[in-house]
Amino acid sequence: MKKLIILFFFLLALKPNNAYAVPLDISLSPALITIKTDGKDESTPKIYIQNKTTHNVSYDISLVPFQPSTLKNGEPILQDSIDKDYNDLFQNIIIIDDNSPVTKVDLAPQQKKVIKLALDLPTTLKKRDYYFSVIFTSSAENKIENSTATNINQALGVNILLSYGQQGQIQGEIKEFSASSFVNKGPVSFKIDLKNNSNNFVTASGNILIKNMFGQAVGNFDLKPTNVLANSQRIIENSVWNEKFLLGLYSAKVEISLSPSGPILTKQINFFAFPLEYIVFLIIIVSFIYYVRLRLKKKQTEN
Amino acid sequence: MGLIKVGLVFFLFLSAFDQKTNAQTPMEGGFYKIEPSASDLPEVERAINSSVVKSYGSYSFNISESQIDFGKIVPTNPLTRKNTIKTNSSTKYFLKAYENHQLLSPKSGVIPDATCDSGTCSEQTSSIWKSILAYGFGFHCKNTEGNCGQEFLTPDSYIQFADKSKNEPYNYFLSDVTGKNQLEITYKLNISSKQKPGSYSNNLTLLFLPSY
Repeated sequence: MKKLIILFFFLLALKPNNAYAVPLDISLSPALITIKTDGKDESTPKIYIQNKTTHNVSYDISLVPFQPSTLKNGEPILQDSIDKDYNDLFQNIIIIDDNSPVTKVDLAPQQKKVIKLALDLPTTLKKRDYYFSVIFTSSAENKIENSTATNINQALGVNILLSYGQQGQIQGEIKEFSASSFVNKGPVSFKIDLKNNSNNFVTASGNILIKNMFGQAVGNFDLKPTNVLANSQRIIENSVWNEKFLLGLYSAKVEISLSPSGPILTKQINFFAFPLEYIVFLIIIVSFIYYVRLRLKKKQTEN
Repeated sequence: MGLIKVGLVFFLFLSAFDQKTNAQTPMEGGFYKIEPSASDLPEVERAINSSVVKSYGSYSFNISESQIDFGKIVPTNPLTRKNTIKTNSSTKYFLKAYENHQLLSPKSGVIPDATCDSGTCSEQTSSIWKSILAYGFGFHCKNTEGNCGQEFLTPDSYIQFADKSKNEPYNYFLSDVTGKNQLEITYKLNISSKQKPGSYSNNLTLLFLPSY
């Protein structure tokens, strides 16, 4: 009997130790919100956040300004400090969860919530563009006694492009539109470096039209709509013409509109295509035929 | 015999109860469904009188373990721990990492970030780390779906975490990517016999930032 009781408690002791290392699993939408407002109305964009784990989670909410990356790739570079304008802005942004202002969001297992950003922008706030991220950061785990550990915080951002006040004149230029001047086959990648000279962000859209040496349109594809922040540059991605077989001189013309009402920027380049592999193959065949003929002639002469 | 059965049932009951708080969430269909449906085009455009609000994209971000526990550490006995990171997004994104400071014990000081076998690895440069006489804390990234970056092409290459207290530039786990990515991170720790005994800890932040 005693042995059985001891065995029972022994088995109990073997029960796996509670681990503090829980998973973190979040779905979030949207990734980007653009707002153009003159502030006369309260804008309340929504953020949907879902906890996909089986335990409660809690995320602190912070607002952090960002600037565009110098790599022109659309990466937001979070700033360590905020200036007076952003300070004034953030004081007029309230984050609302279930009709209550909050600085953190608690989520039950599998719970999905709608977080609202209430923007009540006063007329005294400087009228300009503001770019910031709403960052949701998980709380660190409890410290484990007599153990060395790294606690992992999960941080998720939603980018906000806010244009406050009347839109100024939209101006821009195509700093670079280029491709390889000689290609032997497709696809052909184009590089488009677009500069926004306006004081407001723009959403650029456009297309590239390709013509052959006879002036016939042989390719036409749309560019991915791309946000370019005020007074900054951005490379427009996925500008690829997927045609495989190319031969001769081609012209490519890019047309980009910085807004539904323009302006429209254009630029044209030329490139030459020559399928080298086919030419090399052709040369080998011709050389072989010539060699065979030569040999036959020589034989005839000997006979 | 009857008592044994009761004991086992009780034990199993307790274990099942604990697993509710400890179990990892199983994957559904292999990966995560993004809700609402993913698209690069504006999902919602609302004109609120003179305001225009547009929303784009959605994403998911999973970390398999939120705490890396090395337990009680012993000199010249390198320890490794792993976790998995899964991401999925309809728009381009960046996944960056940094530590708030080196592993720290208020009574015993710090465990410095690793410099690897050659003494050359940093938060920007990776290097091989195999020797048990090379000390510190670092990580290796292995992409099971995606690309960790050039620094981790060799299995034993390690890199330091960016130390925010020293204003070091972020580590990029993923840069300029879209769609699904899955990474396995190996955390490695080794201390010398001169390291004071103690419980060391720090916080590591994994920051998911979509592009704009």
